Amino acid sequence: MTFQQPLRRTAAVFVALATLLAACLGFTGCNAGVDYTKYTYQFYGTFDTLVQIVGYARSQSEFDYYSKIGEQRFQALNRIFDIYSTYTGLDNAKTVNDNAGIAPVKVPAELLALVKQSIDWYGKTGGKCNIAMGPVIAVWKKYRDLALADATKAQVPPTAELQEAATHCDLSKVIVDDAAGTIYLEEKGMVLDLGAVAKGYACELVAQDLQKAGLVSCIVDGGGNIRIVGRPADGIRQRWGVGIQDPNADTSSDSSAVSLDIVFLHDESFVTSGDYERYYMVGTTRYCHLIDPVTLMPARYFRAVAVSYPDSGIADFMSTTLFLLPYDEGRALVESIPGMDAIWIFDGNTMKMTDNIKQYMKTAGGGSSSMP
Amino acid sequence: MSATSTARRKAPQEQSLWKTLRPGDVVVVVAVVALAVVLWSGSHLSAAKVTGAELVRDGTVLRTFTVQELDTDANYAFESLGYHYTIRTGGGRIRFAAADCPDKVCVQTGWIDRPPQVAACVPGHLLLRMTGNSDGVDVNNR
Repeated sequence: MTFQQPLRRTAAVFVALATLLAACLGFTGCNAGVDYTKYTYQFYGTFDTLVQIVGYARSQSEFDYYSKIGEQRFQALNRIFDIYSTYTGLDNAKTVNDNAGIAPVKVPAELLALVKQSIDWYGKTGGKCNIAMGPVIAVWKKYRDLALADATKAQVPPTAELQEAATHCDLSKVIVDDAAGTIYLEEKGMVLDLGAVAKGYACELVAQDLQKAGLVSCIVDGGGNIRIVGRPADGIRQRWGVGIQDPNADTSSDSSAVSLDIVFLHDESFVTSGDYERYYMVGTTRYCHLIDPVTLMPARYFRAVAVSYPDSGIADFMSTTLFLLPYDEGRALVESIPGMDAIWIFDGNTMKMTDNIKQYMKTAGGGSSSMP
Repeated sequence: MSATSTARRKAPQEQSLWKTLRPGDVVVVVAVVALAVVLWSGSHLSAAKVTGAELVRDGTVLRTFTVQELDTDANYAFESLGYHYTIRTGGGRIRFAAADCPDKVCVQTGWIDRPPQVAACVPGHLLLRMTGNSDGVDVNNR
């Protein structure tokens, strides 16, 4: 079969351009975009928050397989760190609390490791984030629940009640026996509260599990504890985009002010502590859930502090610590820890940040998802 | 010297190839390039665009809100797991405006107006989420 000259020429041009197109797509990595689609799975039932897993997979069924692994691991960790419920055949954080002043409790390795890590970092960071603050946090929670149920009953806890609770918050009386695998609260009335550390720690463990299982491009978001695995597998972007929420979204009438900036990250965690979701009002004064262990009152230095660090468990611990520290002290602390960055959001939405992270922020430093 | 000779021999061939192009060839070239641009931009240059919002309970979409509905000031009543909610729209946004759930985190989350923003109520297993293209944001801090 033969072609006439013009037709052959046309066919040649078409084939050449098609080849060029295919080559361009391959060169820029667009093949990955064809193969991988971004999926999101959202679920409740763990850590009193919404958990989201966002990831690139080759099919919905493949993503479902991974997200089920993640959900089941979250459920298991939630049972271990739970201070409100007991479970048959499991000695968890509530078991430790129930045995305060009575006996050491042999606990799962994850709980032992989290408590050890929290004690270790408490010592290294000036003693602001105290997992033995359970009695004081319980007082604040009781008054917050009352106020949220009936605003006319909103009141600040009496100082005497807070001070009495604070007499049972000595972290040095949390005894971890590594060899025996036990935790013992030496004094009756002591209560571990892992709310400031457990979600971030769980996100870290789940992210590691998913990575080992084969999901190498994903975000694990446990109620704002964001742990990023790898780079986006769309073949285009090098970094994931994390939006920084406007703490004033509740009252803002300016719809364009909802996202303050975007931070572009990969293989990193980004954890925020803020006063804008869990709080109650007494008159015109806001009382959030982040309590200073010295004043026994909510800290008021910032609206929010976000910490960027590879390990989500440490980032979670540090976001609470920094929320409770004045800016200068907090900044000096962050700058003493290699690989850690932070963003402080003040009332009025002004932001300060460590030097390194600025380059990865869209508005503050011109960062983009294509940065290496 | 040999490289220069090769270049001299090839140049006339390339010139003659382009000279043979006819109007039909140009049409094909334009069509292929246009197709490439459309395919590439369609799959990778997804500019921010809100298509609406969804109210979800445990993965099931209970109600879809159109862009027109988000633009209209209105209140919607919902019940979930024994809790009662008022969902408010207006100005292209949506929020939990009132709830009798215990922690009120859903209400205190405030307005959401662009994907992938969410407002969540843990006690009632309810989730409000914006739908559409997210303009480079994969997840928001909370």
